[in-house]
Amino acid sequence: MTLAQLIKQKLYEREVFKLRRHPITFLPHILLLLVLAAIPVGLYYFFAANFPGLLTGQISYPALLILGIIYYLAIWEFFFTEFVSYYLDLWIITNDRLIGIEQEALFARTVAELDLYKIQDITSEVKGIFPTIFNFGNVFIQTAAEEGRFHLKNVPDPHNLRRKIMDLAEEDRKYHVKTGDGAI
Amino acid sequence: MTLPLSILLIPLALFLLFFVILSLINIAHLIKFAAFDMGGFWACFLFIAGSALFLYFAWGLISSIDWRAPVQFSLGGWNQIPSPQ
Repeated sequence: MTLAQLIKQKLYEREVFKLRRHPITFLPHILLLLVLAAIPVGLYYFFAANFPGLLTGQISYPALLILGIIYYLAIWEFFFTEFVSYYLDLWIITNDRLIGIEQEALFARTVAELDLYKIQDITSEVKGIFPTIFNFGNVFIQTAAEEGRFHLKNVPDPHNLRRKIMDLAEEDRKYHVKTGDGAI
Repeated sequence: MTLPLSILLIPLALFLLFFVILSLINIAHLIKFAAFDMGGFWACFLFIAGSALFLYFAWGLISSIDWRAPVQFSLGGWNQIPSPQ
């Protein structure tokens, strides 16, 4: 599936930004994988020092081996699922619309979109030590619709993004006024 | 009760089935929704390569065990293979 197919791109529409969460926000998952992967190694040395019979037993050794294999495959699969969730969370900004695609779980996917000319207010925030150091944060987009705010989570350079979306919204508003399309 | 040691492989086989199904779902998601850039392709490649490498090493360890050896399931001596009569 191409991007154009995914968002059902209109003829006059061009992609301006394609955003994902800042890569640094995926770092905790990598660290968690490393910590979880280190636990059996620690347990191996613990058992070797305190219960050496467990690692040489005719039943306990195969049982622990199988348990270890299942454990490592489980954390690998968990990590991959987290990556898919991170990677498929996507915000696409065109000169006409903002499309938010969120992979919330393995079987839960949300696609939302709003017309740029309907944007009333945009707020960007960078809160915390790591967001400030790595320059990522949230952008909230308020429209007149009842659905409330559109939330771009942990996107890179949120303040600059806010300005660019504002400019695009202004251009789109002028276009809709000129063509008489849309309720402005 | 005496059973072959290979009975311990049943949970592993069941888990492998679960692992394969979940992996295919994740890969299908990536192929379907992320085909427009190479990141999804590399993620699939790394995941499959990592899984294959891990299973190769796991197979090396598993194959060194005699799974046909009988196991006596009883409260005493649970960690021993019964000696031949």
